[in-house]
Formats: sequence, C-alpha cells, structure tokens
Amino acid sequence: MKNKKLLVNIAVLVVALAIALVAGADFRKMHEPDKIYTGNPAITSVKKLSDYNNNLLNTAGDTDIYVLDSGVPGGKALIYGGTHSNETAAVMNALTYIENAVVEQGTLYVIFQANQSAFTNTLPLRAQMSHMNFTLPDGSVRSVRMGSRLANPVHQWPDPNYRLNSSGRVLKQNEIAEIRNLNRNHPGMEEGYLVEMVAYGIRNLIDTEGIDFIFDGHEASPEFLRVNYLIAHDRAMNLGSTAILNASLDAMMEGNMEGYPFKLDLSGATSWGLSHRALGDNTATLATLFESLNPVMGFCHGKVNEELVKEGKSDNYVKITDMGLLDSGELTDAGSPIELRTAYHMEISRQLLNAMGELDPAKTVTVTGLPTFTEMVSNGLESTLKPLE
Amino acid sequence: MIAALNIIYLVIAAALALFALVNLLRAKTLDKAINMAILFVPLLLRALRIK
Repeated sequence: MKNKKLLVNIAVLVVALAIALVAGADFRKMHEPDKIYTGNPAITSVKKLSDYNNNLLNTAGDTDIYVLDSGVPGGKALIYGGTHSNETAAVMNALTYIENAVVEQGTLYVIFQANQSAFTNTLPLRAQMSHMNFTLPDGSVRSVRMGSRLANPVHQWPDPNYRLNSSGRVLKQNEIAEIRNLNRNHPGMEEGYLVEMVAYGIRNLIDTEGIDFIFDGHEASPEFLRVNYLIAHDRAMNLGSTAILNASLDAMMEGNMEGYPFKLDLSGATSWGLSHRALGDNTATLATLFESLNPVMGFCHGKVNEELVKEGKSDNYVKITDMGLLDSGELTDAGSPIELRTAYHMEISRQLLNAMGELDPAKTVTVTGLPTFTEMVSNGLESTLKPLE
Repeated sequence: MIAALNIIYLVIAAALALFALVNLLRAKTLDKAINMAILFVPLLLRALRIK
C-alpha cells in the first residue's frame, strides 16, 4: 500500500517535472537575444549602456546603443524604444532607424531595448504572445520579442516593500512592482536596483554626450486618455508643437487632408520618474514621449492572437468605441496595425528631428533613408526590416 | 545589500522547492501530491532563475 502511494507520488512528480521542462524551455527561449540587422553603413559604433554606468557591466540591463554619427557638426538626438518591451511599435520604430537611417548631419543615438531585462519575460496571467514574426520578401522570417513592461524578476528580485529613489515617486503597497518599470525610475541611481541603474545609464548618456533631444516611444491601451499624444517637457513644448504642426502640413501636401491624429500635452508636474518629466528636469535635453494605440495593452481585448498583436483588431474594443465609452483610443474594424503604429512613431520622431533644426540650426540632425509614412503603412515592416545574413 | 537580498531570496525559493518536493513524495492522497506539484514547479523555475 505504502509503495503504491509512493509510485503515485513519483508519477505526479514526473508529470510536474515534465511541465517544468516544457515551460522552462519556453521561458529560457525568451532569454535569447533578438538578432537584428546591423549592416547599415551609417552605424558608426555600437556602445553599451555600461559605458555610461559601469555597474551595469555583465548584467541583463547592459543594452546596446547604436550610434549613427554623420561626422558633420550638428545636434545630437536619442530615439529609443523598449522602455516597455510589450509596446512593440516603439521597438519597431527604433529598429527601423537602426536598419535604414542615414544621418547626413549631427549624431543619432538609437536604443531598441531600453529595458533589456523586460524582453526576457511576459506579464503573468495575461496570456501574452512572446514573439511577433515578419516574413520578408526573400522568405526569411524576422522574429521580435514581446516582453513585459517590467524587468524580469529573475534579474531584479525581490521588489522592496517601500522605495523612494531619485525619481521622487514613492513605491509602496500595490505599486512596488514598479521598481522594475524603467519609466517610473528616471533619472535613476548609479548604484541600486537594476532598473534604477539602467535609468541612470540613460541619464548619464544624455549628460555625457550632450544629447539635445530624446524621443521615448510607448504604446497605450484604448482606455488610456492620451493615445496618439506627444507628451513634452515644459522646455520641449515649442519643439513638440512645431513637429505636430509640420506633420499636419506635410500630410496635407501629400493629399492627406485629415492629417495625423497627433496631439500635444504638457508633461505632468508630478509625473515622477517618467522620462518626459524626470529627464527634462534633471538634464539639459528636450524630453518627449509618444503613445500609439495598441489594443492588446488593454483589459477587454479578448483572446491574444496574431490578429490582435499585429493587426490590432479587437471586436470588444470596436463595441466599446461604438458605445462612446472611449476618450482617445477609439478602435474601428480597421484595427490598429503594427505598420500604422510604427509609422506614427517614425513620422512624429522624424518631425521632431526636423523641428529641432528649424528652431536651432546649430542642433540640426538630418536623417534620410527612412520609408515615408505611406510606404510604411502600404508595404509594412516586411519591406523595411532587413534579412539577417 | 540588494544583491545579497537577491541571493537570500533565491536560497529561500530553493529551500521551499525542496520542502514541496519532500511533501510531494510523502503525500498521503493524490490531491495533496498534486497541490505540492503545483507549488514545486514555479519554485523550481525561480530557484533556477528561469522564470
């Protein structure tokens, strides 16, 4: 009888180990770095964030910084995505710059995985997809990870019960996991939790290189009140308004009389730890942040599948829109496809770069080589992502 | 301090995984064995720094 129970228990253990093995293999796969095309001749060097915070050396936070230096004096700009790794359009925008941009004046810094650790895990209990795939014209497949908005607890654990760091934001009670959220911990700490050190690395990159303007790409749920908004620090409002006005004018010149849905908002005075507030307050850079509409970020989207993450289609949110319950994240049957979301990021960041040169010619950063908005929307990311060699 | 705390928590996770494993093997009923298995899997993955 005793032996029979032991045999049953061993059988349960074997099943548990099998589940652990299968699940563990999937989780381990999330730790494999994304392969990207780095053959763009405009890339002059690839730095590491640990160059700006030595404490990040050999940690999961030591992300790559792609430098595209024209060699012609001008401004310096930082465009980055992957602050929240599940906000894929921001990542794809940064990749579009890394793989396609040509810088003719000034210097462009691009990071596509700002919180690198966050790409190695998904949000628990959200039934997320872990990868987004694109089949290129040559038949090859480019795969991009979709992680979590928070760093992986494998890299930063435990979350403290109370934390007040340089951001001024008190993290306690139900907010303690935000210590793993890069966009709650700016301007960061040279020595501290991993994400605080990542934030410090970005701050020190801005200070050390004298970066004039930053663009932090994000995506938002339909329920969010600032969808398609550019959020600008007080000192960056001129830059932001010029960029949005120019974007509208350019759209009209191309026959798109409706223009873009971009709107501008001022960074909240108490947006402690957010890039547009904290980096604007603590560095000389002009800090901006953009939010595009991604229905998978919400809570009412239904089953997570390829149609939802790539096409941005959600019947639930169309119904909610029809009921008039959304303020800025309205969704139609057309959805919010990744090409359109990425094109918005690309267009607004390009307009910001142009506006910086208009407002201060000494800070001009001239970027060419990117697809036009229409090309991105029509041809998709399959036409801008490059095959891996 | 933060790194030390991380190591302490990993040791605690490993000890709890071991505790769950022993209880799984000594379980007197199937549902208790399954309960312990459900505890064991995430603790093991955390102790191994996989999830």
